[in-house]
Amino acid sequence: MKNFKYVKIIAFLILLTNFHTGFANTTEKTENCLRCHSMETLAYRDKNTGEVINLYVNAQQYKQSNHKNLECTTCHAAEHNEYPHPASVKQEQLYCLDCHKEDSKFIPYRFTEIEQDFNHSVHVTESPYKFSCFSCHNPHQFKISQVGEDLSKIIGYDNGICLNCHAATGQSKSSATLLKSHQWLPNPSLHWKHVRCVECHTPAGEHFSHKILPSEKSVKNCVECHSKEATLLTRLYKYRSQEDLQETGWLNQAVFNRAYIVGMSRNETIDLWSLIILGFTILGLLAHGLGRFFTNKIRSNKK
Amino acid sequence: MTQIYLYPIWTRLWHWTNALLFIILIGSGASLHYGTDILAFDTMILIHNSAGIMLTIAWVIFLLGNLITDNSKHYRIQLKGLITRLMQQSYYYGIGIFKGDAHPFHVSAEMKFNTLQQLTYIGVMYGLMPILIISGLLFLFPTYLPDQFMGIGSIWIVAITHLIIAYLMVIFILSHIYIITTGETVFSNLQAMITGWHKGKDL
Ligand code: HEC
Ligand code: HEC
Ligand code: HEC
Ligand code: HEC
Ligand code: HEC
Ligand code: HEC
Ligand code: HEC
Repeated sequence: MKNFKYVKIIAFLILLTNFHTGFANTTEKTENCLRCHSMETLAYRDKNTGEVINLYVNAQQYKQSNHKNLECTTCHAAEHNEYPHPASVKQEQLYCLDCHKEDSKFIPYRFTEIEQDFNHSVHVTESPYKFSCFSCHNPHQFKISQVGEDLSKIIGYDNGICLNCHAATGQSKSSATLLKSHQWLPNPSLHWKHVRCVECHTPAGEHFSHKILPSEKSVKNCVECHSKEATLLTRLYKYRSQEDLQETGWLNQAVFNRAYIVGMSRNETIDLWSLIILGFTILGLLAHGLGRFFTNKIRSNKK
Repeated sequence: MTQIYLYPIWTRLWHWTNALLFIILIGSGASLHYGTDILAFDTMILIHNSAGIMLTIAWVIFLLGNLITDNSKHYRIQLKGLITRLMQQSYYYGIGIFKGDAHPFHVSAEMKFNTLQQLTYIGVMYGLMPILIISGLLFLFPTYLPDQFMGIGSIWIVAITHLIIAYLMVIFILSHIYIITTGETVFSNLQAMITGWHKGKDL
């Protein structure tokens, strides 16, 4: 708990000062930590649980992350500057919301809402394991997706998060079981390239939601994407065309638009009735034609 | 046997461009709609979108043509005796044609459409076409649509509008193809649209 206060005070000071001048030494100080922590092999085995704790921080990705402007010790206790690290910092607990809850600058990211949704997700309510934000987000690599980024990359990144656990070999949920549980879906791997897991596994809404639903409540109905369900479809659809629009300009978008997905316009009732009417039209025209043909014949015979 | 020059070259070119685009659009549209894989989905989208844009251009040309030339006179509704002429025409198609009655309408340079035809074409060109085009264009630029319209996803509304109009267009095309066989001979109207000359003994 002592560390929380510490972190908050530092974060507060940082936010008061101008980031650029305040962080004149950032890289230097960060490099100091990365000297050791950017070694891929840096890890140890926890004596109590036997788990391997990976201490590797990918320097490349850190520098592209949302936290690239932060020093390591903005989040981690400053005592880490000493090596060997003092025992007092071993129990350090960090949490995204510690820094992100109060600051108005972060309101657009809806952290409070995310926390609530997260607390109601199956991972918290059902899973025997302890879940935290870091189960899915590596604090050193976390980077939110922006509209306009390559869509397949966004999908790949987001699904990668889930597949990390749900398709990990050797775990209870291997990719084989995942394919099996999605057998009802034609070509699951194609779908996973074109839609995000969360599209079906979170409640549809305007924003991306962190409330992962239990499997019974997940979207199983093709029609929700391949037809009319407004929100689910619109969320996906908009993302795509905005991406196309930004990437290629409006003319290209008009011709090459990928916003349309199979059966977008599919509606069973309209299809059924239209086909019935179409069928009768064709029958009517055929009958009319035959009628003309035969009456004509009869008339010419009479003559 | 007399002939009149009924269809100037621009109307004929326009007509056959429309015909070709309609076939392409109906084929590719049905394939997109029902999800067949005759061609890759992406290719179909490309074809459908390109043909749709060309049809839009063709429609604008039609409007301009009617503004510039006197072709618009064929689309002016003569209210006097409208009902009677409609009844006559319907009676002819429904009964008279089987009895070998004479065609109640006489094609002239002043009026090339019978009343039923005229109303249908007006409905298609000034009613269905604009809706089809607008819904098609909205489909291309969904980014500018609101997410919802009166509680329903606006893209869905666009999709369904486009679909219903498309079905109506298919019905129109089928009837159109059939009705042109009711000319002097089965192929005389088709010939007229190719050569521009309308032939008929009843002129
Ligand atoms: C000389 C190499 C070295 C430097 C420099 C270094 N570390 Fe470490 N760090 C280690 C090693 C080895 C461990 C694992 C053993 C331990 O906990 O003492 C570790 C562990 C950690 C842990 C994990 C503690 C745990 O048990 O979970 C954190 C967090 C950490 N370091 C942060 C930092 C930060 C922040 C800096 C820079 C201010 C830094 N380190 C600088 C070598 C280093
Ligand atoms: C935005 C805050 C933040 C910044 C900046 C940050 N970290 Fe971390 N770091 C965390 C959090 C949170 C955890 C705990 C993750 C967990 O519990 O899985 C963590 C864990 C670690 C660990 C231990 C990994 C483990 O699994 O216990 C190391 C080592 C580490 N950080 C090093 C660094 C280094 C080196 C830097 C600077 C290059 C840095 N951190 C910058 C938030 C941060
Ligand atoms: C020690 C406090 C601290 C912690 C813990 C922390 N952050 Fe941040 N975060 C910051 C600060 C400070 C910034 C502003 C950085 C900037 O503007 O360059 C920031 C920026 C962000 C941004 C916005 C970046 C931008 O470009 O506007 C996001 C999103 C974000 N953090 C998410 C997270 C997530 C998710 C976690 C947990 C995995 C987390 N943060 C943990 C302090 C923290
Ligand atoms: C089950 C995995 C999972 C957990 C647990 C999780 N997230 Fe996320 N989170 C995601 C995914 C997937 C995304 C989408 C990433 C993207 O493309 O921007 C995301 C996006 C975000 C975003 C960006 C939101 C946006 O609208 O772009 C923030 C901020 C965030 N998470 C914070 C958190 C916080 C805070 C926690 C802990 C309370 C948390 N996440 C827990 C999976 C998770
Ligand atoms: C850290 C590993 C991990 C990550 C990352 C993860 N999950 Fe899970 N998930 C679990 C565990 C563990 C369970 C619950 C135990 C079980 O059923 O095996 C679970 C359960 C679920 C369930 C409920 C299954 C049921 O039987 O009701 C769904 C749905 C689910 N996860 C979807 C996702 C999605 C979508 C993502 C990505 C946003 C994701 N998970 C990310 C580990 C993970
Ligand atoms: C088209 C919608 C859809 C997509 C996309 C989707 N799922 Fe599912 N998923 C479901 C449905 C529906 C169920 C429940 C199936 C059932 O109960 O028969 C389910 C079940 C699950 C389960 C629990 C079943 C089990 O294996 O025990 C997990 C875990 C899961 N999905 C993870 C994922 C992950 C990870 C992804 C992304 C790679 C994903 N899903 C993509 C709809 C989807
Ligand atoms: C979360 C939304 C979603 C759901 C639910 C969904 N799909 Fe899909 N489906 C997609 C997307 C997106 C694509 C990729 C379309 C593209 O870009 O080619 C796709 C592709 C397909 C394709 C392949 C079309 C092709 O391009 O070859 C088929 C077949 C298909 N879906 C059938 C189904 C069926 C059947 C269901 C229900 C069991 C279903 N989908 C549920 C979103 C969804």
